[in-house]
Amino acid sequence: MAQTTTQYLLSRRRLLKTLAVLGVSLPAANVLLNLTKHGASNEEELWLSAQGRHQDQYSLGWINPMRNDTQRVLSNFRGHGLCLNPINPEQVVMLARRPGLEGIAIDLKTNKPQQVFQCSKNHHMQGHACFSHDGQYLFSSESNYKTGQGKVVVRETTNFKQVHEFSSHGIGPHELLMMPNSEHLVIANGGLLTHPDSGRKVLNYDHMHSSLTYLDSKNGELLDQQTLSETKASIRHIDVSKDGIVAAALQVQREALKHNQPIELAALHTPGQSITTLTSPESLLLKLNDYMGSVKINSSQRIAAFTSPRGNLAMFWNIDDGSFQNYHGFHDVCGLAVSQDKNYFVLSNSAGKIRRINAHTLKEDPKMRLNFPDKSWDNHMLSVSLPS
Amino acid sequence: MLSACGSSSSSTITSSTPELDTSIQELVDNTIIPASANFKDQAEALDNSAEQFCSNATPSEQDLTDLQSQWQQTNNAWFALLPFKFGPMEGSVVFPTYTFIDSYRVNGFNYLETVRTEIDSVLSLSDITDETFQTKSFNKVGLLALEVAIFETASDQSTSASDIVAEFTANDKKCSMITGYSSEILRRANIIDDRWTTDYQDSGTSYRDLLLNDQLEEIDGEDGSDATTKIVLAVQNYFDYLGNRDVTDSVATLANSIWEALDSSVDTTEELMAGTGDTSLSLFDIIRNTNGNDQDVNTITENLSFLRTSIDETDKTSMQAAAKALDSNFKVEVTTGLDINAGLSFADGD
Repeated sequence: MAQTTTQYLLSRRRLLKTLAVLGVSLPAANVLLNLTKHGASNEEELWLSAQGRHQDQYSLGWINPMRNDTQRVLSNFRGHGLCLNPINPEQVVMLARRPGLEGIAIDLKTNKPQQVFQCSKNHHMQGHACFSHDGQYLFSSESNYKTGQGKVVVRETTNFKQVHEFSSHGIGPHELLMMPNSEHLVIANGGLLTHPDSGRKVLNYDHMHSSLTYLDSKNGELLDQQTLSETKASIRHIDVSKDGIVAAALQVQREALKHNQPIELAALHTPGQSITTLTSPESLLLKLNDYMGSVKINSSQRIAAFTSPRGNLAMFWNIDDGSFQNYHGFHDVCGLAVSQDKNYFVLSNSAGKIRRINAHTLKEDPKMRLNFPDKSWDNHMLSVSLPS
Repeated sequence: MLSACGSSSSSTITSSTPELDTSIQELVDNTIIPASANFKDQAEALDNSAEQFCSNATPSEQDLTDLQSQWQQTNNAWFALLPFKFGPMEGSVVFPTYTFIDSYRVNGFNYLETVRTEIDSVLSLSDITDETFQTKSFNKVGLLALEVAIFETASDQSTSASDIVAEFTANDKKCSMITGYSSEILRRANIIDDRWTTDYQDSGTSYRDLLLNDQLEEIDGEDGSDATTKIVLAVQNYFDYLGNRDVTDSVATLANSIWEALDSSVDTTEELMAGTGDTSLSLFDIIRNTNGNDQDVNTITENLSFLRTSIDETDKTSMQAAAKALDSNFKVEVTTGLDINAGLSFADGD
């Protein structure tokens, strides 16, 4: 008898858990599952993003592109980064924008919050988190504002209670991700010191030190740390390809510089090598206003996409040879995701607009534009496949 | 100088209203397009002036003064247009048109020495034609290149009128050079004006009509922002430029005319906000009457006045302080007063 979609999805989740217990990494488990996968077309693609311009609107919102509609769950705080539980694809976590104090776990199937959790005393959040490969732990970037130290806080996902904390080995950790080996964390230590008493004001321009840092997720052991030659470039957002190449989006603290020379805002790091910045035509670089806001890698097409809301540009580089490929103008673009079929980069902006860039041609398909004028998509977007 | 005050931000997504549409249409037709047309006219006069200067085998010092004066008029007209650096002024993301007229505006780098070296290189060519200048990079042409060519000698950078005239008389190539530079400035002025009034990006429709009819999103390469947002953010960006770049010590230094050029940009900015004699509804009217922000209008008006005074007094420190205050006004009071969606990372990114 043919397996129903529900049966398949339940067994998929169970099998993922079993494989995780057996120590099989998530990528390997997904390969195994894909070999036997049926009924994938019955999964719904959703594009998730923090949303809203005012306190009473702040929410986790999502778009169903096939139905051209949206839903939301109010959060009561302005969200920033999102991450999906790899074992439970209905559970997503959104963190408060820095220097927020809370996060929220949401069930996409019921459209309801599962849990709101707070950071510990003297901590504030930095806006990003990621799950362990088995979905049992959540790693969030935080700062101890008494000491100024960056932290990676570990929570159990059964109740989101803190169980560990590691040093991030830097100041102002921002985005962090699990590496494809499912053991190592890569962290963008932005290098910027802030304190809740002074809001988002940067307190250490003179001594800022940003790094791309690799830790063992089990014990926080420092494995590698990469720095840029330009010390006033803050590594803030990252993505990882399936084969472990890390793309980093940078933000230059121009106030701390005494020159007007443009500085590259995109970088790649291949483990075992030194981090390198990516070049582009100077006129494009100048448009970015020292600010790259988000990055996503399409591993299938070997393309890293970066967005700059202050430059109104999305830009694309090949991750194997670092060559600049193309750009696309889009007002206040920041949200960035790769579609589930890997054929598109999905872009969002604060005016509620969605554009899709063909990942093969790197040209926009204007016929696929969507517009939700009552929505205001925030900095980051996450593409998920939800069991229908 | 006044700092930001007035109403708290309650901006929603940009709401196009009939009043705002009227105001935007009037400021485009009464201020921006006339500024573009004036720059084109001045560039044409400059090109004619260069041709006339060079048609005389033995030009006089008065002929040179006339040519230099026309350069100053053209530069003033450029600064009147400069706050509206979007759309027709750019045309291309990679090779924006404005950069070939004003290289300093790109990132505040003074290409004076680059231009001097380039002029020496051009003068060493055996043959100078119009094509010589059509493919030059942005930092080797434009108003700066022509300024250097007519306000100092190439041989020893003398600014004496008699020395400059003597160099022109002795070397025909200098005339070929200045007419080459001036015709390129005119060509690009025509491109900008043609985009505003006739055809933008081969669409068959003027930028004016595409902008005012909200049809720009159909044009390849356009970013999808609305007319009000484009205009306000361009002006804000101009004040950011004035406040943070060393304009007074880097632009029109040989011509000694930067202050009058800055004055021209205050003229158009005041027109933009307060309207002209043909305006029925100005942006100030909308901020004041529709949104009830009298105090914000007063703040912006006083900061514009402060900027004007600092320019009159050629006070660089005060000019930059006034520009930074206006930068802040356009980021906060104007965007709030007009309900503009400037962007989530506009004031404070993450």
